[in-house]
Amino acid sequence: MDNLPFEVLVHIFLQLDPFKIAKYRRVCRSFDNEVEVLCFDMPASFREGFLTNIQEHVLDSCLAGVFSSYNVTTRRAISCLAPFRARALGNIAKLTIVDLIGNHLTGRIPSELGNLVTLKKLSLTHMRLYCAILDTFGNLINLEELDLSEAKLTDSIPASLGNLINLAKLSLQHNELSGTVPDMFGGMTKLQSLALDYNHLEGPIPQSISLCTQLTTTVGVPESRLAPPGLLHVSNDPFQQFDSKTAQSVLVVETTPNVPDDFSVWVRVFGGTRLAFQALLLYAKATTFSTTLNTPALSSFGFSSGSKDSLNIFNVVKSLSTSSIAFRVWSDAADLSLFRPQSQGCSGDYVLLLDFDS
Amino acid sequence: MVRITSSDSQEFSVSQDIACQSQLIKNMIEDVGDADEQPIPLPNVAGAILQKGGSCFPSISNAPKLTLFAVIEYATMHKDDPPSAPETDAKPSTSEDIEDRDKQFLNVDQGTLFEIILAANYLDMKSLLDVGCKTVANMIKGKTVEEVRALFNIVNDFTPEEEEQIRKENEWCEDR
Repeated sequence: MDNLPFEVLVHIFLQLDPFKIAKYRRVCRSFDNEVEVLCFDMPASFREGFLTNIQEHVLDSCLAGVFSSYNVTTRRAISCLAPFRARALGNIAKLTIVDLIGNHLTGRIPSELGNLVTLKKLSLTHMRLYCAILDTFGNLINLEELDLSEAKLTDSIPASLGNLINLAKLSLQHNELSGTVPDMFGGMTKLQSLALDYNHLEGPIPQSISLCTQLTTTVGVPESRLAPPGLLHVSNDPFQQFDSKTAQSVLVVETTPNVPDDFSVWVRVFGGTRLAFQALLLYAKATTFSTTLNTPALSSFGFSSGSKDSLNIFNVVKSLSTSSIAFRVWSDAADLSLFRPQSQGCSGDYVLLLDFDS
Repeated sequence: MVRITSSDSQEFSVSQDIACQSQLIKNMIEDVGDADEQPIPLPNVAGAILQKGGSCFPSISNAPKLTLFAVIEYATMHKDDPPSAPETDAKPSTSEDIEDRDKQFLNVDQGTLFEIILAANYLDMKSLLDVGCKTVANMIKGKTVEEVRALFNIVNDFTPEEEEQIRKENEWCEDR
């Protein structure tokens, strides 16, 4: 029996009371593997009854401290904890990953999650939570990745997330988040990826985002009205020039539908002594899009007064049939403008001019 | 009629509604079109090697081949079954509810039982796989780890340390 194929063994175990499956881990290695799969992986296709049972089972496992001894980083840990009845969850001392993807399950975020200070990755996605992001997530100071996308989360983003100083990836897209983006980026010096799109957020992105010097991938905010004052919107005419007189300037460029698959943007900076623009956001308005941002550390270059530096800031590789692409540039620069490359002697497809002197 | 050939080159002729209880064969017929033209080869399924209950397969490890005979018998028995209801509506079935005729059908030695399950898995016959797995699950139920090993001739391939580790992790469920 122990060399039955994997799917047959799983099928057999599925017939057993889930509560009792774990007992048979000890029979032999292949059983151990199968039971692990059953205990730790929860395909969405499982039936409701089984789901309920396995949750009880997992809850007991938690209470018994079973999970604490697993190296769950390599396993799709406790994806079966979904309806969040696991009061014991907060006691899983060494857990480093909580990954609750899918199933479109409903329920509230268990507040105990905020106690899992060892977590490096917390992922609650594709759920119907209809509640706010827990303030206590700010306690998870070891988090490197927080993915709460497509979870129907409501209310505003808690400012406590600003405590997550190890965060490299923050994904809050596709939720019902509202209000303004809190001034939380000051400590997030390791942040590399930020996604806030498809929410009801408003107001400017806090200036502190400029301290996220490693930020390279920012999925923009096409529907979030996150536009700071002075948003420049260039629609279907990337070569038109725009000015903004606000301290925090944003340039949005929607390109024409016929963007080539690979094009680059040059940035030319005129004058100014302050650090140049510090965060650079980019998003695709349409469907699938992948970018590679070839960006030098943006905050690391300064410009001497009167110099005319130009810098190839990023290359964009467009995939599939994206109909438009938008750039956003946060900047201290008073003026942002975009010119045809030919007129500026650069070889890029678009040239972004930053004029600090005006 | 559909002609199917087992791994040992025996040919069976079965009616289409029986053969098509195997999703695999059904797909093949749909792909190939006219099933009369050529027999369908089932290289993973041994043929009418034995009548069900035979002792050619003392243990699964010695019997990598699968038996087609019993499977056809099962399919014939169930050819008039209504199509199974969509799972979502159905109350989750437990391993207890096995039809009597299926119980009788699967009242075979272990090796044959596993052969049948493997064949059902290969042939994609959900109801047979289901009932087979339920039968095995019922054999496991209530047994201790040691009893399960003995029952299925499973060699304990853990080191004593590993087993102790699992025993420790399993403390919460071992006596239940």
